Amino acid sequence: MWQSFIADDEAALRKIMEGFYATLTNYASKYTKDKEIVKDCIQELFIDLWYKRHQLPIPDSVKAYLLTSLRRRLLRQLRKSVFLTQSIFLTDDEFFQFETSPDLILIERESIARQATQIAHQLNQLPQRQREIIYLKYYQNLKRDEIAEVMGITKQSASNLLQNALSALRQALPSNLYFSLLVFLTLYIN
Amino acid sequence: MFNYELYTLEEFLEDNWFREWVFNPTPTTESFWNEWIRHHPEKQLLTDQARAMLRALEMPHQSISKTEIAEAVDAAFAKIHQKPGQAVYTLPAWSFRWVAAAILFLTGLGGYVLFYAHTQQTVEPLIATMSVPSGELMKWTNHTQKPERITLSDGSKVLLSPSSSLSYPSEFSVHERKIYLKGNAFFEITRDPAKPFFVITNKLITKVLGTSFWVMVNPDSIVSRVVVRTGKVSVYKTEDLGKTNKKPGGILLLPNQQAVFLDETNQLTKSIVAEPIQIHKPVRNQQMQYSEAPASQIFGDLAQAYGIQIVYDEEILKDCHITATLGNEPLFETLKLLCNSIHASYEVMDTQIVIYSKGCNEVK
Repeated sequence: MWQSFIADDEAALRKIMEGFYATLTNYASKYTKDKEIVKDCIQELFIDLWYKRHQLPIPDSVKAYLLTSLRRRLLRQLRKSVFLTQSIFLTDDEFFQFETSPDLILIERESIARQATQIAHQLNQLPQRQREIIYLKYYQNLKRDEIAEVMGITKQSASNLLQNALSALRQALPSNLYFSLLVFLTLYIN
Repeated sequence: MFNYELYTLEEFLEDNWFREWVFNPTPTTESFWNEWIRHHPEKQLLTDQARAMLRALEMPHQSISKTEIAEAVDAAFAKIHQKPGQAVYTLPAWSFRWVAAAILFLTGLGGYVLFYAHTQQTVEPLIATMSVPSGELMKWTNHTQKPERITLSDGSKVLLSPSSSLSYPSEFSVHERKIYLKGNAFFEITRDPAKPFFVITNKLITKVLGTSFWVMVNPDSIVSRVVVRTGKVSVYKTEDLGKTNKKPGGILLLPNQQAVFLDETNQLTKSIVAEPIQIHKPVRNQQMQYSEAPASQIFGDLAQAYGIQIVYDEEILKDCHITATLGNEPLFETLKLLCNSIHASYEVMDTQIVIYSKGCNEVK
């Protein structure tokens, strides 16, 4: 489909936008709660893609490509629209945050919603890059190479970061999760 | 089928069938997994954890309807068709969208409005300054264990706490003075009404004309404060100044008042500082010695000395008299003593102190 869109097939790009819209929105929502900015950035992204279609590469992963572009765009946008000089203090990663409001979980058992809120809270205690990598791996289901691409880091950095994130997470989670996490970490490191 | 019995948490998180059940439940996935859990009740805890984890990552729930998506796609392509046949990347409409970042300025009444050159809404600035710090900022980080003194080009003094850092221009701009703080500092700002002074942090922005105050905003702390010793200070949430077409509400602080910002509630509230200091000498009775003086008089003098409103019912207190000499005790200690002597109590409500009493009609 990417190929068709590059070859001037508008309908193909429409399909791509439709297909990835929800996923891009979810990613953007970790960067900002401002829905307008989210919508604008996504719209701009696709308009841009259309205009530059003749100069675009064929990505290995369309999803990773879109997430990468969106991330860049969001950061650029946020630095400007947030009071300008925050960029003096903030590095790229300080924008990424999980929501912790349980009413944002619809259709779920109360005990799970509560657990989820707790987990989100704990996740927010982690350094920003660790948060993002956990999100990209377990929510967006990206492979290590794709993660590296989206976050703009090397593949080795991605592996290291993920290891650190998981061990930090293990320490942060309430003890009833400890056992199961211990089990999976052991398997993971192997 | 997969051997789900042996699955770890991570494997559930990565399993497409499980994920479909969590994110896009269908009758098929629902029946499968509910059945499976019924047959493996010992796995309930683990699957719950996996569900919770996925939800935590997902929040907010994907509430984007197909219609919304279709609309967004249509809108995008409508824009594309406004410029037919362009294979070159030029989108002039967009470049004005977020012009020059935020411009902060002051209206004549002491309020302020954020100006964005937004194509739909524009607010006319009365005084616009574009002060993008273009790499001419000096940065000072306090690596020592003691506070460090920094003097700015206008003579203002900053006492920077350990592990905090300050970025400031070597020369202030023409219309305003802006500095950037990470951490805690005490400021003594020289008065210059023509050039308001802004302390910018990533959570709060404090605006003053000339005064002394504390700003405490630490990235790791969920509580941020601005505490005023003298003068008047306006405090705003930094994120409010990032919103378009909305006049940001700030709060005005007087001496002995503080603004507290909590990350958790995202609220900025005003209250009295924990240890108010006397800011005025009492007009009469400089020694603050009272002999059978009406309680209301003493409260009035205290209010005046500390610049804090003390509210009480004149009628009720009219028969209350106190003999006391007020020394250097902290204000709240003094209040406790005074109240005890007339069987009253006090409560701090935002920026006022309220005295509750039943009166002093009985013989003690």
